[in-house]
Amino acid sequence: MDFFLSKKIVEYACLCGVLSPLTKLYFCRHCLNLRCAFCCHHEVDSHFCSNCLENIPSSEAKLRKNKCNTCFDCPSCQATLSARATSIQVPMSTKGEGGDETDEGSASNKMVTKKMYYLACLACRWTSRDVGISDQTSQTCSWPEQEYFHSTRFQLLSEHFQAVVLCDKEEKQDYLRRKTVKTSKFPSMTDRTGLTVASIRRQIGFDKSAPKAKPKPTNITPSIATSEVEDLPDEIFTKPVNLKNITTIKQRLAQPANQPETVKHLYPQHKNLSIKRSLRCRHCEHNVIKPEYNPSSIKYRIQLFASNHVPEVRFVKADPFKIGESASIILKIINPTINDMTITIMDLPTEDEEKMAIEEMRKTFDKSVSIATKSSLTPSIMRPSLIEDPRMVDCKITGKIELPDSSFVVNQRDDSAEFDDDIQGDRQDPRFIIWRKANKVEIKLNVIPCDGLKKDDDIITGFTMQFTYSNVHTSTPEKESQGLRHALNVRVYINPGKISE
Amino acid sequence: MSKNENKVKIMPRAVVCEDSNIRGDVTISSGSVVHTSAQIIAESGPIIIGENCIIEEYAKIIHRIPTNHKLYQENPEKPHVLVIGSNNIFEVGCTVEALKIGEKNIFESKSYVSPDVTISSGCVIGAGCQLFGEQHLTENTVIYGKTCQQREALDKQGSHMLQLDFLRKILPNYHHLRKPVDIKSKTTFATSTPK
Amino acid sequence: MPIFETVFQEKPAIVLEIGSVYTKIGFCGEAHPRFIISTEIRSISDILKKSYISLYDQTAAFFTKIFFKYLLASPKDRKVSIVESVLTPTVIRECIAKVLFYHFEVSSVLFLPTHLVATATLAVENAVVVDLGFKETIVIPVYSGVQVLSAWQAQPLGSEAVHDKIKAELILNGVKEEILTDAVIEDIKVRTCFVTKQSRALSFKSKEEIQPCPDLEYPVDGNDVIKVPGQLREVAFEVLFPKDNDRLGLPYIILDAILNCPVDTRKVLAENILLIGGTASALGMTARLKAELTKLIESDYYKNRLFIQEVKFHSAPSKPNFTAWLGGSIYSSTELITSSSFTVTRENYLKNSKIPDWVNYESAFVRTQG
Repeated sequence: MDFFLSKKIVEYACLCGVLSPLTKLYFCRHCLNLRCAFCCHHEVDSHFCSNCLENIPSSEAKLRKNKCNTCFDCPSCQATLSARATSIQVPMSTKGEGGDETDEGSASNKMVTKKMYYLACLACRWTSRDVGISDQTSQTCSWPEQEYFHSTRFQLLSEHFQAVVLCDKEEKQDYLRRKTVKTSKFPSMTDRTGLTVASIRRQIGFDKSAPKAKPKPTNITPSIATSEVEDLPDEIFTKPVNLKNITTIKQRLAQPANQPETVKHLYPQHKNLSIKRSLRCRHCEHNVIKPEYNPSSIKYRIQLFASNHVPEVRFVKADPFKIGESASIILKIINPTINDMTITIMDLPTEDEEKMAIEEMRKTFDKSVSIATKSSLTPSIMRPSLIEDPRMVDCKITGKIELPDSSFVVNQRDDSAEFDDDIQGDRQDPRFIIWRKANKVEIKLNVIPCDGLKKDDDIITGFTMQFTYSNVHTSTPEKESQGLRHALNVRVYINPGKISE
Repeated sequence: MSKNENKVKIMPRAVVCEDSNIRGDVTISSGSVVHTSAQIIAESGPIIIGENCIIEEYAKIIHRIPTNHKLYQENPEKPHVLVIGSNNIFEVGCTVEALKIGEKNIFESKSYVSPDVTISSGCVIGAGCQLFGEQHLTENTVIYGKTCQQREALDKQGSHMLQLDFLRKILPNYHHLRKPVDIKSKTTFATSTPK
Repeated sequence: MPIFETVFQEKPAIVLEIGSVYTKIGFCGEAHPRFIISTEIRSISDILKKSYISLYDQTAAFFTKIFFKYLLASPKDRKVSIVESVLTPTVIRECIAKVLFYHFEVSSVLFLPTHLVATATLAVENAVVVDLGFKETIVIPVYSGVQVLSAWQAQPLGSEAVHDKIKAELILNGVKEEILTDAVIEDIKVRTCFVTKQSRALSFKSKEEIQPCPDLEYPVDGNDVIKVPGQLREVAFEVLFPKDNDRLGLPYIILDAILNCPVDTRKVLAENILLIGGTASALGMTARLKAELTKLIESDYYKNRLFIQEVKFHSAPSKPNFTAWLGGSIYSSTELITSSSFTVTRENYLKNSKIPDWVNYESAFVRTQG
C-alpha cells in the first residue's frame, strides 16, 4: 500500500501548501481539512524503552534523564547489550571471601553454583569484562555508573552564577522601587496601616526570620590559568599505535561527558528512551493522532488518517505523451468512507486564487492571534497555536486536464460487499467512467501537455477534487445526516510520466 | 591433484552430512560437524580442517588461489595446503577463501573473506562483513558493522562445546551421514553412527 | 529562589549549540550535553541559493529530530537557549528564531555568544577565547565580562583545513579518492594525527632528516588498507601554523587579537587563554600553541608592542568541544533566561518579529564576585 503511494506519483496538497502522498496526510474532522506532519503540532505523548517496552511516566523519565534503567547500549557499536549468564563455583563458606582458599577438591568445602551476569554485545562481541566491570549477581542490578569528573565543579559554578544573577536582579528591583514615583494619589493600604511586607509575613507566621537575607553570591575560586601544559608524550614519536585501542569519533561522541580516547574507558551506556508522538491540529487544537499509552500496542486512540476519509486517487495507466497532443490517463478513485460520495473534478486554482486564499488564511489567523495577545493574562495553554505560514504549492503544472462534464458518485465502502457477486448498479454512468466495482471507480481523462515542453520532461497535472463528506463523528448530534454533508475540496497533483516524443 | 579426484577423509567422531558438497582433497578432523549443503572445495590443494569445527548450512570454504595472487605468481606449481585450525565456526552462508586460518575463529552469517586475507586466531568476522583488501588479522580481532570496523577482544571467544555436543547428538537423527572412511586403508568405521 | 527552582525543574530550558559539523544538545543546569550529533544542515549558503523556504524546512526537520528523537521533550512553551558565534549570519539566526517560534511555539529564545559564555565555565572575567571550529578559528577577547568585539580575529584555520591536507597527502600517496570520505578522513585525523612539537615541525619544514613517528595501517570498509605515513600524522596540523610573511597563523591571530585590546589589558589577557572547539582536542595542541606564542612574543614585531612575558592557558571543566555549550547551560540555569534583555519572548517576537543583534547588545550579563 505504502509502496503504491510513496512513489510520489499522486500527491495531495495540504492546506499549508506542502505536497505529500495520501498516506502521509491527516484529516482534521473538526476543520474538515487536510493536515500534514509539517503543519501539525507534535507533542510527546509517552516515554518508553524500545528494548524492554516498559512504559515510563514522563516525570520518571525526566528523573532518569530519558534513559532506561535496565537496558544498555554497547559503547563500541551502539547496539543493545544483552545480559549473559555464567555460572561460577563459589565456596559456601561463612569466613568471608578473600581468605586463603583451601584445597578445592576437599569434600568439606561445599561448592555452590552461582549465576553471575555480564553484559555482552551480540553485534561486535564487546563485553563488560573488556573494560574490567566485574560480573554482577543479578541481571537488572545496578551496574556501576560512570562518574563524571567535573560535576562538582559544575555544581559550584552553576550555583554561583545563579546567585550572582539573582543578586543583580534584586538590586535592580530595589533601585527601581526607590526610584519610581508613586503613581497613585492615595496612600496605599499598607502605607496607611503601617504594615510592611515583612510585618505581614510575620503576622501570617510565614517565616520567623522574616526579611529574607539578601542572596549573596557564593564565593567561587576562579579557574587558574597555568603555563604548565601537558606536553606530548615522547613515546608517541617512536611507539607504533594500535588503532584498535583508540576509540573512533563516533564512540567518543556517544559518551559526550567523558569522550574516552581509549577503548579501556568505554562504559555501557543506558539506553535512550523513545517516545510516542501525538499530533494536534493547529487551527482547532484537536488531536488528529493520539496513540495508546501501552508501548507494545500499535493502536491509536485517535487516528484521523486522511486515507480513511478522503477519496484515494490512484494512477492506473496513461497513453504515451506527445507534444501538443492530448493523451488519456486512467485514474482509479476509491471511497474509503461508509457513505456514498459525489465527486466533481475541477480546475486547480490559478496562482492568483491561490495567493488570495493564502492571504485570507493569514488574515483570519492574525485576527485570532491579536485577540489572544492583547489579553496578556491568558495562560499559555489557552493561547491559540501559531500556524505555519501557508505557502504556494511548489509544483509547476505542465499538463492540463480536460475536465469531465459531470460529477459522479462513488459507492460507499462495504466490507461485506467484497464477497457478494458483482452487482451492477442501475446508475447511468457518464461516459468517462470506464469501470466500477464496489467503492472503486475508474475514470478516463484527457491530458494536454503544455507548450514549450521537451522530450523527457515530466508531465505534472492536477485537479481540484470536490467530494461530499458526511461527518458521522460530530459533536452536534441534533443535525441529521442531511445537514452533515459537506462538499470539500482537495488539490491533487499527478505525475503520470514523461513526454516520450 | 586433479580437480575431479575426491579424496575426502573423515576422521572418527566427525559428523559430516551426506548432502554436503565436498570436492577435492579434504580432511575433516575428529569432532568437527559439517551440515547439509555446506561446501568445501579444495581446488588449489588439500584442505585440512581441524578438530571441533562447525561448518553450517550454505557455508563455503574454498581453497582456490587466484592467478593474480602472490602465492600463484611466485610459484604456480608449488602445492599449497589450507590448514584450518581447530574450534572454528563457519556460520550459515559465509564464504571463506582465506589461505590461512588459525583456530577459534568465528565467521558469522553471510560474511566473506577473500584469499588476500590471513586470519590468525580468535577472530570474529561479523555478519555480512566483507573483507577484500590484503591484510592480516591479528589475534582476537573482531570485525563488525557495515563499515567493517575493527576492535580487539579481550580474549578468545567462548567455547562452543555445548553446541557441538548437541549437534553430534541431533544431526544423525535427521540426516544421512558420510561414513568416516579413510580412502587408503579402505575401512575404518566410526565408533558408532546412529541413524 | 526556591520558587524559581521548581519552575526550572518542571521544564528545564533546552540548550543548543549548533556547530558547523556537530550540534551539542542538552538541558540547562546539566554538566554535559546529552548528545553530540552531526549537524544536518551543512552548506547553508547552498541551501539559501535555492530558497529561504528550503532552509526553513531543513531547519524545522533538524529541530524536529533534536526535540523528538534525542531530547524527547515537547518544545511548546519551553525556553530555548542557542549558543552561537557572534559572527553567525543574521539570516540563519532569524531562520532559527522563526522555526522555533512558529513551528515549535517555544516560549522564549535566548541567543548566547559562544565566546562570552565560555568564560562562565571558568568563573573568570578576562580571557582570550579561541574557538577552534571546523571551518574557522575565531578569537575574541573578553574583558571584565564584556566581549571586546573590535578586537576579533578570524581565519579559516580549522579542522576543514586539516582534513583537506590529509586528503591531499593521501591522494598523493596513491590512495583512491573515493574511499576517502569525510568520515574516514575525520577518523584518521582523530585517531592517528597529533600536533607535533615545534622543534620537529621546524625540522620537517627545513627538510631535515629526522625519524618521523611510525607509519600506520588504517583499514577502510574491509576493502582497502590505507597506509598513513608517520610524517603525515605529525604534520597534518601544520596547516594551522603556516610559516610565511602573511602572519595569519593561529598564534598570530591570537596575539593580534590581544594587540587590538587596550594596552593595560594585554598582560591579563595573555595570561588567560582559553581554547574551545573540537579542534582544540587535538593531541598536543595546547603545548604547541604555547611554544609558538612564547616564541612569537619574543619576536621583534610583538616585543615592542605587546609587553607580555608569558602566556597561560585555562582548562575548562569540560571537553573543549562542548565548553561553549557548558557555558550556555550555566547561563540558562540562572534567571537570565527570563530576565535578560536578550531573551526574545514569544509575545515580543509576534509583535515585532525581530531578534536583537550583537551590535546593540547590552551586557546584562555577568559580574563575577562583586
